[in-house]
Formats: sequence, structure tokens, C-alpha cells
Amino acid sequence: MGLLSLGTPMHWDEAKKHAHHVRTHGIIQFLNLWEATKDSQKDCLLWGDEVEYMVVSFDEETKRARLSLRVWEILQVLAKQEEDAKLDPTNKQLVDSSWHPEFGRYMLEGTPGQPYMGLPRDLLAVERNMKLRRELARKYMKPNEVPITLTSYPRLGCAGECLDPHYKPHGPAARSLFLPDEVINAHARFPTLAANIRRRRGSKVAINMPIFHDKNTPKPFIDPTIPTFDDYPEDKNAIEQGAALPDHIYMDAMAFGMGCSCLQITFQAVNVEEARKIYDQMATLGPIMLALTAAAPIYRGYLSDVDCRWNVIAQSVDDRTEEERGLKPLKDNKYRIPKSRYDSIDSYISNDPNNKPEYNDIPLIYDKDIYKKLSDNGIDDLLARHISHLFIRDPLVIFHELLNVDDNESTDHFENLQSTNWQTMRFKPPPSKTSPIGWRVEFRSMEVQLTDFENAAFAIFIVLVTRAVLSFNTNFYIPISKVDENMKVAHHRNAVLGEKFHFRKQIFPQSRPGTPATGTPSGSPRVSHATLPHLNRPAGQSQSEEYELMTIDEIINGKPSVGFPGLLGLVNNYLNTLNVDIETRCEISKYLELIKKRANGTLMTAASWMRQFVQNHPEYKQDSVVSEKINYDLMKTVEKINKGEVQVPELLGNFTV
Amino acid sequence: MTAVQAPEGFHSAVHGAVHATNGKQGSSPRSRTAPVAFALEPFSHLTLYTGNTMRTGTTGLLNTTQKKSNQELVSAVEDTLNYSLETAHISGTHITIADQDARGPLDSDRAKYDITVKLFFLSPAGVSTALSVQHVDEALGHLDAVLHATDLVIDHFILAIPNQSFDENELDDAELEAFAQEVQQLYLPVWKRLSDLRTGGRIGRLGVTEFSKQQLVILKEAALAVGAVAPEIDQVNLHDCCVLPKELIEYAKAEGIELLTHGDTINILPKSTLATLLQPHLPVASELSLSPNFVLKYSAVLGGRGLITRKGYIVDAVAA
Repeated sequence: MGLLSLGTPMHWDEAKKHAHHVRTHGIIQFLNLWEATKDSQKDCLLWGDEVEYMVVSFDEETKRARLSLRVWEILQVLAKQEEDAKLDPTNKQLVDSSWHPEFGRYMLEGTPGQPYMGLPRDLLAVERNMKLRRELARKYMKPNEVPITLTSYPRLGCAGECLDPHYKPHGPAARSLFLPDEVINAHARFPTLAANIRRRRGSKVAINMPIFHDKNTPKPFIDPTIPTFDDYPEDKNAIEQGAALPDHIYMDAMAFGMGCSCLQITFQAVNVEEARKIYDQMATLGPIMLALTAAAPIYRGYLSDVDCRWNVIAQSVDDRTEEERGLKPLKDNKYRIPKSRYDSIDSYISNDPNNKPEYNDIPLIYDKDIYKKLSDNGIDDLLARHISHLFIRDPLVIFHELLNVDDNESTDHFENLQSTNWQTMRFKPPPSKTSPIGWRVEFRSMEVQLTDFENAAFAIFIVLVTRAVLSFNTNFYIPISKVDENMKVAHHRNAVLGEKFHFRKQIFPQSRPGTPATGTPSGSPRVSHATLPHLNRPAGQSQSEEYELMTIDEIINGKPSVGFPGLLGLVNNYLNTLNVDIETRCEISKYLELIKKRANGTLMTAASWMRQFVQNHPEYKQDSVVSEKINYDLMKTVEKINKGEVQVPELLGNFTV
Repeated sequence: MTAVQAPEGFHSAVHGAVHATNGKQGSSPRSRTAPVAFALEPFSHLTLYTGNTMRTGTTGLLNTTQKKSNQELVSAVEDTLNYSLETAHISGTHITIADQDARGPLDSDRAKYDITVKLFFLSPAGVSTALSVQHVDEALGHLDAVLHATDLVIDHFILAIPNQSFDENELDDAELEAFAQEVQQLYLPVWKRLSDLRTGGRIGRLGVTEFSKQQLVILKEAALAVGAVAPEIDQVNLHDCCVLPKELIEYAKAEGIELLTHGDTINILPKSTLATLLQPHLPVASELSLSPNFVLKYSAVLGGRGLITRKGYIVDAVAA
């Protein structure tokens, strides 16, 4: 189990002196790795999911649900069991899972012990493995504790007891008005990360999510529950000082963001080129899948007007200074940087001829010296820009013991920057020169779902989309600024049904003038279009006609009338060509049915369902407040759904979880 | 390869003159605005190799709400007629139309691929003629020609007999007897030939489509009686696959028969459909009402990566 390297982390004042060192050696390490692995060729798809759990502790007497802060103990038991199991083959199931700490001390991350491989049969292993993980995690918890796959915890940071055990807020690392430092994973890396983000930024992070205005919510909404302290200058009054915006839910610590859970999928590509292609194609789907998996409508005890976590995390780790954010003229800093370290990707990186230069239409901030160093060493333009863009950031956590390493062997400094650029996609080199693992791509935008059935469905859908993308050689490119617009829209309440997203109209390679017959009724060819005007884009047609606004339903389920198959159509057409045995196909059909119904509104997203749960709760006062009792009942219901004790057809239809 | 050159290894049935028309050469766009010079020839034998339907958009654009469809084949044939007619090879009254982009060897080692072939025998409803062993050999020859291979090993081979549709109801004694007779008289020679290919290593697993349990039993008995192998695959329609009769599932498990899914219609290329497809391009041949002998569907999948790299159809039709 990777419990992260141990060492003595540097305070920001010291770390910043070594930033240049880490970047310089990080690039040397990348170049060494590149030289050794650029021609790496794999035969197989390997892939895996990462599911993050929150451990909720129930107090049945007071009807309270709290986040349990003893996950470190649980992780240590799991790690020990995992080690022991490797020596004892009868205990194989423990080797089938792997456990990792996360930012929140109440969080666990579980992955399959070995990657999934063969398609389509291995797809059925996904849900089984997720269930096994949940069961194992539960096994090492107290009877009143449960692992819940919830994207954001509704009452994190609320006054009173939201943590078990209870600690007073306002520690020296986060200086949060709402949360104690004890909510942060005890490993030295995490509190240092939080503190150094604050120190680098020059102030606490400020997260403001719009409140959902219900009938009785005050207008304007000025949060009466924000406490004041006397320890630091910024403590006095978050509202008067402008950190907390009116009509918003204000949060002031990294834990509000990095304490959210998500569902991430990583694929091994056969080589660098394929990885770059998957990166670009899937990047356009980031916002679509964010809206479709929306599961985070409540923050700090209030119903918000957003459905997704992404921007909360972006703001929670925004280490940019005022200069970098464009609030002050540049003096001590090098760049104005438009986005947080946690945000959507800024450039496409594939050398696929479909990737036209004009699609990279966001002015890219990158380190010119690093770009030159990469170029001089044979890295092509797009990749050099990508890496030198990641390297505009400073390393946040540097361990004294790991400052000077052998650049031929270590990738620590490269990984330091790579792994603290949290974007919608991640392009990952092999872990080391000699690793059997190849080039990988991580799909990072999805929100974690309440049940293993749903998480398996989304994981499987995404892996099938990548197979269809490669098999059909699809072209999803739209200008990357439009992907960013989609990202904004994806957060809106009920975006899945209420919003439209930019999407490419013609997603197949244009080797044929005119599109092939579409919607042709069975057995009856339509009139030949050999002599008809071409339906495709004539030369010189403007780029804006390549894409249009579509609903998520259209993007997923297609627009048959205009010959747009939708992502699900692509996946089904892909599957129909494989030799799939009936059992596998029936199981996969259920997963795909869930995706279809979420996209067309037959079934609710977790976000909509939770909103409805709160708004229908007898204790809810139409004032946006999610009380302790409502939260308790919500957590209980989520747990019962997982155990199959409660049916929620509006969320899950007739599917068995 | 340029459009007018006679490709190497072209199927042996096609000799002689190569028609180059319109003076158009090279690849895309290959659309045609004028009829080909031979449009009005009375061809009595048509062979057609479609493009790679994974790359022409044909497969990706299918409407998946249809549980059974021949839309892929129809679109692929239409596409081939639209873009590859000019490069047709003509030998007497036999015309061979081939999408040249779809031809060529597999990109990687053969061992990395899972190759599946489904051979549809077609005959008009109500006409009972024995399936032709010669058609099997011709079809496989065409496949070798498309993939520039010699005696290509086929991992999964599925035989689709004419007008066979899955019937979950029990057959009565008379129906059983009738089916046993059909197997003996119409299908067994072809099955024996396929079985020999299976035994000889040319075919990996051999199967049928749309068979009920009782029909599988009958085929097995008949096959074993002549020293042929029993079916190892039964391909059933997607629509039925979640409600398959238990007896079939149990029998398949006991016999080691793979139950696979498919989405093809029963009669994948009715004569009238072919005529309609040909009409705008080869009106005289269309009027001759060519009757399809067989349709071969093939796919090549890089198993480890889950990638479909090649998929296409081979159609062979003659004037009755």
C-alpha cells in the first residue's frame, strides 16, 4: 500500500527557495524517462478505477451522522492484512484490492489490486471488485461506521459536531473558521500541502458556491453561521472582509474541496501516441460526464445552486497569488495564470491530424526556458507546451530528505509537479524507466455515485467509449475554449437536463464525401446520393459549423434524424461487433441502460435525488438549510440503498445495486 | 495501390480486363458525378467487397434502437457502389466491385487478432436447395483476397442457414422430423466441409446461429454420424438474449457451446434490396434481379486491446 513517502516537509518560506531546483531536476527526470520509454509498446489494454469512500459514523441516540476521523487506523489494518494475504494464498480477496490514504482523515481510496484487462468479459469483474472493496472496508470499521461513496459531505464544516471525535476548528495549518486541522490526513504531506497553499497564495483559500434560494431563504443570503476568531488578521469578519460573498456558501479550507470524493478511471495505452489520442478525445467528454454524474449539491449544511464538486476543489487549492490572479500588477511573480492548479486541461496534446492548431485556442501560459529545454531534447511542440505549462506551478511540498536525488533513477521532482496539477485529464508517463507499466491516461472529472452498481456502470461506460474511440477513429475535437464553457455550464443545477453543451457534429473521419446512409430503414436503401450535393463540410466552411449545442441526452443517446449516433450508439455499435456471450451482454446492457436513462431524464442524478430528499424531508423549512437530522436521515438512506433495504426507483429504476 | 492496377492475389475467379473509367485515379474523395461507362452492361454475376465499415462511418452510425437490422450491410454496399464502382473488375458478365481501401493484410501479427466470420447462405423463402460446398470455398477465397492472406485461420466461424429464426417454443414430433430431414439433405454437406476445416485447423470454433436446443441436438447427432464436429457456438439475437429458455442455457453449458449475441436480421440481403441498391448504378443488372448466393461478414479484433480494426462484407450474387 502506498502510504506516501515519509520525510520532513519544508515550510513554504524554505520550499520556495528550492522551487527552481525541483523544476529543473523534474524536467531532467522527465527527459530521462522519456528517452527510456518513448518507444514503449504494450499489447494489452489494462485499466482500473479509483473509488473514494467517506467513513460515516452514526450516533443512533442523538440521531447524528458524523465523519469518522479514525480512517488512518482502518488503513493500517487493511495494509497489514494486504501484506499478510500476499503470503497466504487462501486470503486472495485482500490482494484483489488496494488501499490508499486521501486528503481527508475520514477518507479511504480503494482500487482493484490488479488492473482489469480482457474485454468484454472482464467488465463483469468491476462491480464485483467494487463490492468486495466496500465489504472489506466495512469489515475493519466499528459497527456504527459505514463507508459511503458520497461526492461531498453535506455538513462538513457545520457548527456543532460534524466530526467523530469532535475537535474545535481553527488550527494553525488551515486556519479555517469551520474545520479543525484534525480533519486533514495526519501524514505530514497533507497539512503541509494545505498550509503551503495558503502561504503561497498569501491568504486563506476562499470558496464561494451560490446558494440555492428556496422560498424561505433570506434574500440576500448573508450566512449567519460564519464564526469569528481572534487569532489571525483574516479571522475577524469573513463577510466584511469580502472573502465570503453574499448569496453564497462560503468555505475557507482545502478540506472542503480535497475532502470531496470522486470516481477516476485510468487506462494504459499501447504507446505514447495512443495515450495522447485518448487524452484529447476524452478531454472533450470531461464536462459531459461531470454533468451526467452530478452528485454534490450540498455544502456546509446548505443546498447550493450547483450540482458538482469540481469548482469547489478548484477554489480550495487555488495557490495563485493576487498578482497571478490578475488582481495586482505583476511584480514578484512571473505569470498571470487564468486557472487554479485544479481545473480543466488547457491544451490538446495529440499529433493526430484531426487536431488542428486552431482547436488550442486558449492562450497557453508556459515556461519558455523549460519549453526550450524540452524542444532541444527532441520533444515535439504540443507535448513540450503541455509539460512546460504544468511546470509554471511551484512545488508545494518538498521533503528535505528527497531534495537531492539521482535524476537517472528518480522521478520524484517530476511527479511533484505532475501530481499537483489536478486537471480533468492526466497524461502519465510510465512510473519509472524499468517499470512494466506503460503510458497511461487518467479520466478525472466524474463524481462518485452512491452505489457500486452505478460506479461500475460509469467506469465501464468510459472504458467502452475509449475502445469505440480507437476502433472508429472518432474525432471529438472542438475548440478547447468551448470545452471550458461546457465545464462552467456542467456545474449548473440540473445541467444534465436543463443545459446544452458544445459538441462536434461530425465525429467520424471524413474519408467519404457525404455521410453514409443513416437512419436507413431495415432492408430498404435510400436513394443513392452519388449525384446529390455533398453533405459534408465544403472546403472553407467555418470551424464554428463543426460543432453545435446539444443536450446531454443528444450527446449520449444520439440524434438519429441527423445521423449523430451518440456516445451510447457508438458503444453499442462497437459491442455488436464483438463476440459477446449472452451473460456478459445482459449485464453490460444494464449498465448502459442506466447511462441512457440518466441522460434522458428517466432517472435522476444523485444530485437531483439528494435535493429532492432534502426538500421532501419533514424537517426541511424551505430555507436551504440541511439540518443534522436531515443529514442523518440522508446518510441512513444512502446506506440502506447500498444494502438493498430501500428502493429508490427515481434514482435507480429497477436495477439491483 | 492505384485504382486501376490489378491487385496481386485477387480472387482467381476474376481474370482479364480491368475497366478503368472516368480517368479518375487516386483515393478520396472518390465520388462520382457521371455514370460509369459500363453502367448498362447486363452483368449476371456480381461480387462485391465492402469498405472497412469501422472506418467508413457505416458501423458507427447504425441506429442501435433496432434490435435486428441489415442496415450495416445495406449502407456498406451502398457506400461501395458509390465510391468504388469505377475501379470494378470486369470479366465477361462477372463484375467484381471492391473497395480498395479495405484490402490489405492485417496490421499486426495474426496471433494478436480474433477473426470472426459469419457466412449467410441466402435462398428465397420456400425454396429448398442444398447449401453449396463450393460457395463455402469461394467465400473463404474472397476473404483471403481481401486480407491478402493464404488460408487465413478463422477463430470463430458461424454458419447462418437460410430463413433460420430462433423459436423458443418446443417443436412437435413432425417439426423435429422435418428439421432432421432438412439437416440431412440441405445442410450436412456444408457442415461436413466446415467440420473438415475445423479439424484441419483452418477454423477455430465452429457454430451456428438462431438454433434452439432441440435443433442443436439434431445437428449434433447428424454431424457425429458422418464424423463431423458438433456445433460449438450458437449465436442468438440480442433481443432474445436476456430471456433465453433455460434448457438452451443448460444444454449449452453442458455441451461447452458458447452462446453469443448478434443483431442481424434473418434474411440479411433480400433479392429486392440488392436490386434497389444496384438500380441507380447498374440499372440493367438490377433488372436482371441478381439473387444473392451468400454474404460473408468478417471482423478482425485486436483482442488484448479490445479494438476492432477491420470489419466488412463480401457479397456474391448471380442471375437466377
